[in-house]
Amino acid sequence: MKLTSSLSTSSPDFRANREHSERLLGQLGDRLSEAAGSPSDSSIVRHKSRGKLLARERVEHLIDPGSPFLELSALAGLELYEGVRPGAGIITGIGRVSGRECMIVANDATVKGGTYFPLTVKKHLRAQEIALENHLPCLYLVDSGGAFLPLQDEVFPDRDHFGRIFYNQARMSAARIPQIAAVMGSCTAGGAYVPAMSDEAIIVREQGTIFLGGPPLVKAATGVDISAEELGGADVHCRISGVADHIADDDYHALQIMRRIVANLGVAPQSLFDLATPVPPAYDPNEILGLIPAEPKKYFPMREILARMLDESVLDEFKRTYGESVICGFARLEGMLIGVIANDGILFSESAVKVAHFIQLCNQRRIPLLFMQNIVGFMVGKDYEHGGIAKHGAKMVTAVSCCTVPKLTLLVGGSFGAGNYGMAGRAYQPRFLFSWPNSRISVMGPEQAASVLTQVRREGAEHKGKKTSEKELDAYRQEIEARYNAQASAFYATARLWDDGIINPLQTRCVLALALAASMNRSHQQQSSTSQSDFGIFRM
Amino acid sequence: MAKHSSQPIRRLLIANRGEIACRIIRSCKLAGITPLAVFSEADRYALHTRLATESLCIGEGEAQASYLNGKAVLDAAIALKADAIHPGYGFLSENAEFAKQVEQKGIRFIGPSPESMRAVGDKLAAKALAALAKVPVAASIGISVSTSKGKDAGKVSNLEALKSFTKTVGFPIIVKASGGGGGRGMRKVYKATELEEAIASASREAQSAFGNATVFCEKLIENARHIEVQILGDHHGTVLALSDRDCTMQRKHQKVLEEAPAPALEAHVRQALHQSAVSLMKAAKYANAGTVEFLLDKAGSIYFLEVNSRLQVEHPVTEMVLGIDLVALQIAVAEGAKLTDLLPNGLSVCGHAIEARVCAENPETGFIPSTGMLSTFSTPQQSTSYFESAAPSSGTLLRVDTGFERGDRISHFYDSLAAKVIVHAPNRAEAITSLRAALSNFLIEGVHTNRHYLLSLLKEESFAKVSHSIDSAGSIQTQISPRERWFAVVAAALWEILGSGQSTGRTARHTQGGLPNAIGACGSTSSSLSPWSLEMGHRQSARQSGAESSGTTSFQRCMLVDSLPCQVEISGLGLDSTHSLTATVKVSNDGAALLSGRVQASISKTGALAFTFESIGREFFFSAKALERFNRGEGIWVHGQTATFRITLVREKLRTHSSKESAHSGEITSHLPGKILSLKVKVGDTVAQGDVLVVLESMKMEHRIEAPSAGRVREVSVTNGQTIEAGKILLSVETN
Repeated sequence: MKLTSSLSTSSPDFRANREHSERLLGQLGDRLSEAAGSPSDSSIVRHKSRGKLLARERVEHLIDPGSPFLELSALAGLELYEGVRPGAGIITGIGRVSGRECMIVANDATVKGGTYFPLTVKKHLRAQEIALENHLPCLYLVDSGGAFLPLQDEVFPDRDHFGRIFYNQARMSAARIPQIAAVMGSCTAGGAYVPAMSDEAIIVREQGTIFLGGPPLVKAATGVDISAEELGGADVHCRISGVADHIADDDYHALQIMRRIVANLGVAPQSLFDLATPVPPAYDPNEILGLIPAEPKKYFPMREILARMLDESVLDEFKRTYGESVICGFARLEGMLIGVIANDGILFSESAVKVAHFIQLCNQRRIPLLFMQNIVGFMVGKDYEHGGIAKHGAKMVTAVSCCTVPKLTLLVGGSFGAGNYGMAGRAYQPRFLFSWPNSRISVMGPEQAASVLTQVRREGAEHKGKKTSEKELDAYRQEIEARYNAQASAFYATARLWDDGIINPLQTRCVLALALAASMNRSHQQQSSTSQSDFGIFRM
Repeated sequence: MAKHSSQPIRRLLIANRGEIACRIIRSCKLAGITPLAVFSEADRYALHTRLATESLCIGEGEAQASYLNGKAVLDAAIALKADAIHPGYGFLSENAEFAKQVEQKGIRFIGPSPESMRAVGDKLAAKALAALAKVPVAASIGISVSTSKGKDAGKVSNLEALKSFTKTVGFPIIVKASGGGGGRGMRKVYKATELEEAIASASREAQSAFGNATVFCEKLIENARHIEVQILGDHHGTVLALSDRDCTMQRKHQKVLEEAPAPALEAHVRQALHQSAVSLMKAAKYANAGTVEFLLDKAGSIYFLEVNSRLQVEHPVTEMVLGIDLVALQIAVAEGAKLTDLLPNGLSVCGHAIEARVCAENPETGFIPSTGMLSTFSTPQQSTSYFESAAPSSGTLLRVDTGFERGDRISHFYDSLAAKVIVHAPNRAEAITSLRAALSNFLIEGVHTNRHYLLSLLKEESFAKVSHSIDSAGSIQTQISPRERWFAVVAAALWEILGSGQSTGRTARHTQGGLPNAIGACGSTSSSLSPWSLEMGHRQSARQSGAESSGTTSFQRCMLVDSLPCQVEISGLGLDSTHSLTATVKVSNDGAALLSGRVQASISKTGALAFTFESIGREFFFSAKALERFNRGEGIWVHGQTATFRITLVREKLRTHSSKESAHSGEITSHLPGKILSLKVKVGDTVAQGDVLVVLESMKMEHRIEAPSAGRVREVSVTNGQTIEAGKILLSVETN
């Protein structure tokens, strides 16, 4: 059924909302340009003077001309490391190469020599995880000095640290997900394993080097003077050691070879999906900016948003009149049939059960799920606890956890507490999770957190017989609220890779569609390695 | 003649190759005769070998060792128990000695008797006979070339007589091979100083092509038309003129377009031609098919040129306007049939037929032959039966005679004829129109062809008005239109974009187990409706909104179109769900703009790319196959309405490297494969710009390789008689 809109674009609210959204977009834009770097940056000038392409240029030359590039976590590491531009020295994203969607991982040598900071590692691993879950060939454009040594304790020893990169390469190769590397700069120590662990490796002559210990280390250890090219250059690895397979004359050539390699990957198993000719929404998607409330507490018009996201603004709703605080229904996004689950208020038992039912429908029909999160959490209070809201919420969480169709999550508003769980938050492994710049995420809302913590402090003091002034408690409340507010920001979240990137709300259709189509690279058989009706016990 | 029994022919050996061998095989099969083929090593897998019922190898690739080796052919005929030999055209077809040996073995030779052949086959003898039969002839003189070894070899021995002849008739003069045809062994001479070299070279070429080095000189008749009469005689004294043909459109004496009947011919001239031809052939006691060629000058005078005592390349146009099968008639005559029985009601000309010779050569580089594998050979739709064509009252018939199929190779050993495209229409204007359409739809990839050259000639006003002469083709503007070339480049660049979305469900077909991909019901990520095909140029951005959200939608490509480098810049890309693309394109070469503007493009149902330049407003179509190859960096062939282009993506660096290297090294390479006939220089020689360094034979034609600049020969890497591949470095010249 077609959604109907009652929006007035001339209302003061609409204008205020739009101004607020545009301010946020301005912040996003500034940070994205910061991530891209300036052509006058000394490191970029130096890099280009060596005849090398910038990481972003490499990506552009690698992908099919005119094709999309779905960049991921462009602002990883934002404001976290001194002298490191947002992006953490690595570009990851999905691009079409020789007609096939691939995960591209490109080191940016103009950021601290392309070394791995903790979030660089996390971003690289997340790209690999996406590749694994969606069966995307991995293309590594290597130009990195390896781990950032001053922070070795945060990048080296743990499970999800540097070593995991190569573990993933081995496991993915075993799962027949091609691993291809082009060595376009240094590839030292641990980094040497990226090409070595790849199915096929390219190395650029007089530019790419691969060695476990570089010339300074060799000199220190053995006293021998040797040039980098002689130690581990293209000729060494393609003629003597066999560590690499293809010699390239320059960056362009290396990328061309990589395109040829991808062109020869053969047929990959894919999911077929219900795809119709895409039709734009009946309502103007640009109006979304005026729909996102400037005040988080104000009503969030989810149906108005959906009317500006879905093909023809059509949503065939399921249980329209039951558990109304959550919207479930079938719709098309850029022609692709999806199941939409979107919050329209707090979660009640009925809402949770409805979602569990709907997820099972979609899972059985192999229809991908889109979660639109704007959730404060589950309802609290005596009646609800007695009504078993915990077990009904558990059903929802079980369904979200166990379904095997691709899940996409978009944070459009708040994402708090157990609502985040039931609505396929990061822990529930949606194939992709994106945020709008206005979205907020934390265990509970800043105000609730502040009042809960203030209450705890008051009680603690009373318990010890101390007396705390209201003024003191008020200051404490404000401090907590401010900290929660800061940490709930979408920018704080994306910097720590709690999502796959903040997206421009006006690009939502496009980003979700690309991500959804990319997820179809994994076939149904691969998805249901655990059989598709294998759900945990639903507590009845 | 008495030797001829009325025994029917059952096993016919075709002593030829290529399209004519295939053509004869076709008639054999229609008549229930077993076609037998001979082939050279180079033709082991050729179409004529495949079509024949039985076949035998007769030698190496060089014609001298195989198709010109009479003994080998005859041995093969005996081994294959042939009761007749059809020689086709060229090779042994006009070799009276061979015909005689064939008859001596009791095998019928499909052609005139050795005596008739001698009487008319040698051009000089034929001219004498023509003069006797009161046929108008041009003044001429025979040339004796010394055959003795040593330094006099190849020198003219009757130099004095020659000098006095040239004094009498004056220049220009034409040197012709007495035993030749098809323009080979022929040279036009405008200056006395060039005469001897022209004679020597013509003589060499004649020896190589026809096994006969005799040449003669004749007064050159300028601005003439070439008209010929098709003759058919039987062994009972009947000689018929089977209409006439106009082969005026020639390039360097090679016929390019041929038509029947000869247009704009006054009745009395036609009558004179037919009568002259018949009386000459009667004088030669000619039986079987032959052609008497004439020149017709502007004043309306006719001059006898020569007799071709065989089937002509252009015989199909006569077949089409008369509705006959000349090969079948040749066979019937050889079996002893009477023409009065074969054609009791005579023949009447119906409609108009034109033939175009599609050759594997590149008109853009001086018609150098192009060899290689025919990766695409898609002939236009042919009419099913064309021998019985009782002239169409409306509509046209199309016939393509070829010796090739897709996957075959055009080798450097033989001539460059790839196919003959023949149309038959109610009138000449319609024939021209439909021949142009047919050529536009003839897609050949793997070799360059003269397709656009033929189309230019057909478009020529003088041809339409029949005001052209045998020298016209040389002066007609036949260059590929630069606009079409740069448009092809734009098409290739746009394809690279649209192509990635149009790889229509390569994977979908597999996952669906071969069921057709029903768009709208289900798709895969490679579907053209996938967002990955539609979200053109998406980049993360906070600045733009909605439909204009495309970020980096511009890119640049370096391409080689044929051998010309150019850069293509595409910007402002837009794409809608109907796959109609808009973009701003700019084509340039080293900064010089060649073409720019806003285009709209889409891929039609047939797979052709249609695009409209906003400033021109007309739609242009281009087609290409195996587009994914381009995307992978391999060359593709792009077919425009008139021309075909070879377009390859290149990397900037690679291009500048290679151009620099060749400029510095002074290395001289051959653009075509072939055999070194004559090495004119040795190490240390000083050469001037334009000096002939090497004479090369390729596809039966001589090609000269000249010094690009003055200098000294530093190194010679080839020897006389050596067979070389295209691109081989022949020698290097140090620039002074």
